[in-house]
Amino acid sequence: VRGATINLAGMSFLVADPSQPSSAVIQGIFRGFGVSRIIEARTTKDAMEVMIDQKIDLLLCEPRLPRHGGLAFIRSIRRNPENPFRTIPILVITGDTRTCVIKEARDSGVNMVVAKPTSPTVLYERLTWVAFHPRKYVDSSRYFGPDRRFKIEGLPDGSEHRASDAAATPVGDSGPVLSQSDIDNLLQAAGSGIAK
Amino acid sequence: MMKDVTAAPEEDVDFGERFARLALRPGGPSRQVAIQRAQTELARLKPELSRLIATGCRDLEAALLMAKRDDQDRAHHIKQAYAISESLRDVAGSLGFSFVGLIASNLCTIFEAVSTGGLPYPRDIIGCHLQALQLAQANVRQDGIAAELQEVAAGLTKTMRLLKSAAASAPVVTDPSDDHVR
Repeated sequence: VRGATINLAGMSFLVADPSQPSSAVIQGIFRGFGVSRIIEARTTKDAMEVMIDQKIDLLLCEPRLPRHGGLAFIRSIRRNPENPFRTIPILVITGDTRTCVIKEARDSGVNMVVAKPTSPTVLYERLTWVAFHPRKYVDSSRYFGPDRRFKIEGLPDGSEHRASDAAATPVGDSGPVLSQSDIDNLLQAAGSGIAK
Repeated sequence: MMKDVTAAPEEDVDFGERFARLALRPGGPSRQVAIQRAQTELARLKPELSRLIATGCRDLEAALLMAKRDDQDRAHHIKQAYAISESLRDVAGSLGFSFVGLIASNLCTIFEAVSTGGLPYPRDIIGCHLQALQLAQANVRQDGIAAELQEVAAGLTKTMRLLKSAAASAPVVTDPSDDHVR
């Protein structure tokens, strides 16, 4: 998939971002990629109205979307079995990259989280990833969305390497993370903790 | 007759599968061309958004000055500064205004830490960022970080590193997911 291309012609993307400048940047990037139709929404109400009477191929949503929040909006799409867009690819774009926000986004059923400020390269890679690595949808009483369990299988294709990328070793390429003595020590420590 | 592609979705369309199927059609521009075109689009937007960034910088400066002077209504001014910082952080970096992006990003980190109780209001560090912001406004139309600002940027980055380690060692008194400032 390295250097793979995607064809976004004929597609409609919905950009739901309360910030006009931020939305303009994202729309500019999507236009450059050849997306045929980009619709913008500033509130969950606007976004909902668009999704009632128009066909959308991808939703890009900001968690700060007023009034109910972008993640609540995503949950309302994913958890409604009657919603025809239930399995639409959804990207969340946010400048707030605290772990609690990322976890909440993941658990609301998004396909991918993109950090702001973003760039054409990053967005293209995320879209390529979604196209080339579709994940099965999990339908449980508490969650509907793409399978949240996926392993690191190397760096995204075409991504530029950083020094810190060395940590992203593909699963299966190395031996066990813990040696037997590490496990023994952990068990021993846990046992002594319980004894106290 | 051609099918109306903007019409409401049919009941049986699997949009997850549809996106992958359409995206993998042959005939799209190469990755390099698509990214280049997107960069051209951003360059086209730059003059207009540069003006918004300049206005944002002025508003942020005013909010920080008010937060410094007005002890009684500081929470309100911090909230305002936080919102402007978020907006600047989201856009400045994408357009290549790295110095403004750095200041805005640092301020967001500080305000987040303050709002969660992980940090007392760091008046001096905010003051450094205010001064840096005043320098940035003189250089707001330049791409990247101007040579004369490199040292300031390195200083701000180092200050933030120290602040983060101080915040990490300090006890957090409130729930980290609870955001009081916004």
